[in-house]
This record gives sequence, C-alpha cells and structure tokens, in this order.
Amino acid sequence: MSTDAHHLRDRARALRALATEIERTPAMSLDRHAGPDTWRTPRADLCRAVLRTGQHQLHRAADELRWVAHRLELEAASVEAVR
Amino acid sequence: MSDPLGYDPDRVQMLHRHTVEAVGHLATVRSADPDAAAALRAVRLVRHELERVWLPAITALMACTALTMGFSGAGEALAAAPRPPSTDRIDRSSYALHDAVGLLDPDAPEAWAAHVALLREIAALPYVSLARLWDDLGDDARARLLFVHGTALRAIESGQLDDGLRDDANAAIGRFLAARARHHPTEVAQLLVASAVANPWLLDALVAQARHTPSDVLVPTTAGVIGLIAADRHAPEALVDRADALLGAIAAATPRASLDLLRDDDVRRSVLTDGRFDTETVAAVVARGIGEAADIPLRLEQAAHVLADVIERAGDLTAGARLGAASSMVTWWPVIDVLLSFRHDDGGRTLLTAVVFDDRLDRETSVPLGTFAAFDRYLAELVRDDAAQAALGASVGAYTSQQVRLGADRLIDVAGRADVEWNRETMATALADPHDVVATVREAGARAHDLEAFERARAVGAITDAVGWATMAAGFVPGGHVVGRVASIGTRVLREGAARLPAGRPVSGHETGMSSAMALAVLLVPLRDRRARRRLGLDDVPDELWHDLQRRTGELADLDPLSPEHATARNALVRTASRDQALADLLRRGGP
Repeated sequence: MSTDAHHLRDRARALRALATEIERTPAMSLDRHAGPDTWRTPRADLCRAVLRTGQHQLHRAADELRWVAHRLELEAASVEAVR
Repeated sequence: MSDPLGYDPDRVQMLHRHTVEAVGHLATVRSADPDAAAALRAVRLVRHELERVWLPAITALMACTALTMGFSGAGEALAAAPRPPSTDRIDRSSYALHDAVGLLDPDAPEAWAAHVALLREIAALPYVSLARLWDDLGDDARARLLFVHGTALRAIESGQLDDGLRDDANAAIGRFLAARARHHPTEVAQLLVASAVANPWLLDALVAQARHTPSDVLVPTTAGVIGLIAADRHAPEALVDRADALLGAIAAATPRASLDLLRDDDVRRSVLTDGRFDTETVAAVVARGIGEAADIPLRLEQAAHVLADVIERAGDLTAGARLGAASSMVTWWPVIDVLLSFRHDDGGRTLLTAVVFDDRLDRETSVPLGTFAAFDRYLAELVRDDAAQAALGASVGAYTSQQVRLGADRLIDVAGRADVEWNRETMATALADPHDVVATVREAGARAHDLEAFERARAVGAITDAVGWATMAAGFVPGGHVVGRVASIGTRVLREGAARLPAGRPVSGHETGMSSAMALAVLLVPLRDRRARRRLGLDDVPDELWHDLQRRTGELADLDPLSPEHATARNALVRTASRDQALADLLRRGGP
C-alpha cells in the first residue's frame, strides 16, 4: 500500500471519527432537557428553534464529513489500482 | 388557548448544567484536516449560539421568580432580563441573523416563528444600527434575510403561522429598508420594484414603515409598481392592492410626494385613468398633489402643469381622479377666478391660464390650463357623480367663505367710511369672484344634470369652514396601513354634512356667513362715525351698546380672518346688535 493511499485512508478514518464525535456531543441531546415542561416562554421557543436548526446543521456537517471520507477512500483505492 | 408562560426551576437548573456541558464539549471538537473546516464552523456556530443565546436566557430565567411553573403571574423572563449594552445587541443580532438565515429550514414552520422573533429583536434596533447591519450582513446574507421575510409572510398567508406575527415581521424589515433608504434611496426603490412580483410582502413592509421612509423611496417605488401594472392588463390583484397601499402611503406623506408622483407622465396617466386602483386612494393622491401641493409657492407652477393634463383628460378620468380633482379646486379658484368673466369670449376658445409668481426669481409665468371650452367640459365631467360634485361644491363654499372673511377684514383694516353703500360695494367686490365661479359651474353642470349635491355641499363648505378638508383628513390618519382611507374620511365628512341639512332648507344657506359679513359692513359705519348715527336714525341706541360693539369689533380685528373664531365672533357681534330694534331695522334695510 502506498504512502499516499495510506494517508488518504487515515484522513478518512479521522473524518469519520470526527463525524461520530459531533453527533455524540451533548448539544445533540440538549433538546430533551429543554421541552415545554422545563420552560414555556417566547424566548424558550426561540432557543429551541435555534437549537433545532443548529442540530440539523451538525447532522449535515457529520454527513458531509462521511461523504468526504468516502471520497478519500475511493481516491485511495484509485491510487492503489494505478500502482 | 396557548399554554401559560412559566418554567420549572429544578429542570431549568438541570438544563443550565447540560448546556454548560454541551458548550464545554463543543469547545474540544478539533481537527486539522482542511476538509473538516466546514464542519468545525458549524460546531463553532452552535457553540456560539449556546453561549450567546441559551446561557443568557437560562441565567435570566433562573434569576426571575415571576414565572415559576404553576405561578399565575403574567409576563415573561425576557422582559425581566437585563438589557445588554447596545453594541452587544447589534453584534448578537447580526450574528444571530447570519446563523438563522443560513440555517433556514423551509420544512420547519417553528423555525419561521423563531426567525420572526429574531426580526422582532432587530426591529428594536435604532436606525443607525440597522444601517450598519445592512453593511455587516453583505449581499448574500441580506438576500437570505429578505427571503426569510418572504417565507414567513407566505406561511402566515397560508395559515401555517400565526397572523399576529405579520406586523412584527413587516415592522422589522420595513425599518431595515427604511434605515438603508436614508442614504441609498435609489438602491432600495430598485430592490423593491425588482422583487415586487416575487416578494410583494417587501412592499407591505415598506408601507408599514411609510412614515419613516423618505419620499424619494416611496415615490419611485410606487411609480415602478404602477409601471408594472400598466404594462400588464392581467396584473395580479395582489400587486394592485400593494399599489393602492403605496398610493395611500404617498397620500399620507407630504403633498409634495403626491405631486412628484403625478409629475411623471406615464404614472399620471395610469393614476388618472386606470380603473383598477382604489377610488378614494386615487382621490387622496390627486387632491393632495394638485391641490395642497400647489399651496407651496415653488410648487404652484408644477401643479398647474399637472392640472392642465387633468383638464385635457377630463373624459377619461376615473371616479377617484374626478373626486380628487374636484377637491383640489379649492386651491385653484383664487388663481383663476378673475379670468372667469372672460369665459364666453371667442366662443370658449380663449385660453384659461394660471398666472404663477416666483418671488425668488422675480418672474411671472403663465401656465395654460386649456381653453374655456375644455374647462367647461372638465367641470361637466366633475359633476357627473355625486361624490365629485359634492367635493366641487365644498370647494366653492369654502372659497366663498374665505372671500367673505377677507372682505370683512378689509373693511375693518381701512377704518371704513361714513357710507353704507361704500362698505356694501367693498363686500360685493370681494364676493364677485365666487359668484363667477358658481355661475361657471352651474353653466357647465346644467348640461350634465341638476346640481343638488353641488349646491348642498357648497352650503356645507361655507358653514363648516371646510377649507383644506383633505389636509384635515390626512392629519386625522397618522399611520401607514390605513392611509388608503384618507380620502374617504374627507368625502364622508362632506357627504354626511350635506345629508344633515334639513331638506327644506334653502340651498343658499351658505349665505349665512355672507349675511353676517354684510351686516358687519353696514354696522361699521355708525360704529366709527357718530354723525352717521343721526343720519341713519340711530340716536336712541344706548351708548353701552355702542361701546360693547366697538369692543367686539376691536377683538375681531385681532383674530385671523380665516379662522373659525373670526366667524363665531362676527356672528355674535351681529346678534348683539340685532337686539336693538333700531339697529335691527338698519340691518334689514342695509343687509344683503
């Protein structure tokens, strides 16, 4: 296995780990503690909406990281195939 | 009914702890890989939101005891929370906007409500900060923000969002646009016209803030939207409604704004002849543009050119244009009255002109308004429907009233003469021009139909001192979104006023004011000349009464002859004199 391909696979692994870390951050479950039984004010509605959109964005970021990782692995396979 | 406001202190404590933990964990998420940059930016954004939005809100809530769960008190924690410094608010709103706009999820209605809540915060910013925010956001974020507004308004109109959010959203974007418009009016007007079809709610936002929006934005925006409608026979009704709202905003702004709009040839043609626009709104714009604006000395010439076009288009005018034009005549009667005696010359082909003096340039300009025959046709068109006819009558009544007062004032100023006939002649001269005006209208109207509405409104106009009723109506309506009713208030006053007159009352009842003015003209002679009293057979009138009348005359001289107080004081003076039999006889003999 070439050094280049090895490097690409390492990066892919790291990005997948980062995606997992992001999805497991406590912020992703914060909404469970912030429901209407905790607080009910217009500001609470605003905070929940902001969190929800933030969580969506983190999920998209994680998906993007996995997609990049997938591309890196394809690239690594391509490099190996050329050799 | 929605759930009451409130919070559970224990759960909020726990939420605070989890939030601090989440912030701490997000701070540890790192990567040196360049392909992770976007993900890390998202992480920072969420962390920042938790630090800047969540934690302050939770902290404020924990310090507030009014909303403990189950507590029946009203209010909300936000109101109780201390306000951060204004610069911090600007930064936070700007940041929150970047984030909120970037994360807009069209499939999450609750997010739209959150965006409106953010807009509400922005609306609280001062104009200077809003103008800075415009620059801070940049083109892309600004476009997204306007998209957020359109999305929220679409959701409101489709019933997916509470209708109560409409005003908040429009106020925020309206202030945002108005702040930018202060220094970049053309840019904002072009933006609004370009997006008028795709995002007509931006126009609503502008109208909501019309009072704070410069007319150099309102006028070109309105002109642009009217141009879109003129170019499309099947223009959406929603767009026409927005044009009506903009026209209403113009009417509620300065008269100059209405005149500036009407000076544009294409816009004027549409406003005057396109029946799709709201009748009373058009009436208000026309009345203000060619009526009230003409009271501004430097604008009289411009207004005269517009009036000339209105006269030329007489046969094509909509009901609203006729109503507005009729109302505006209160301004033009004093300008053209002396020429009306020539109306029969040359078979009506003689030109009627408005002579305009420009003191600043020391020059005189004659603006041709059309031939007398064209003016007759114009008047005949105005009296085609009762509303315009009544407005025309009110304008003539008000003009007559004004002349009566000016005549009486002239008698007082020149100290009068010991000659009842001279005084009567002076007053008659003052009234000659209104008589010509009335005769002109009657001749023009006789070919259309009877002039009952004209005559009755003429009486109301004189009795109620309705000079500038359109101004009064405009001042009565302070705000933006109901400005379309400006004209309707004025016309309603006139219609109802006319309707209140007893049917049996002579339509010449407006001569009440004229009568007291003529009586004063007669009284001034013996009041000022003791010898005249003997000649007029008034030897027995008590000295106390003469003293009282002289005192009242002195008070009259101190009053503005155009004020209602002047009319009231004059009538009271004549009533007092009439209690003496000899004076009452004199007034009967010497009166009109």
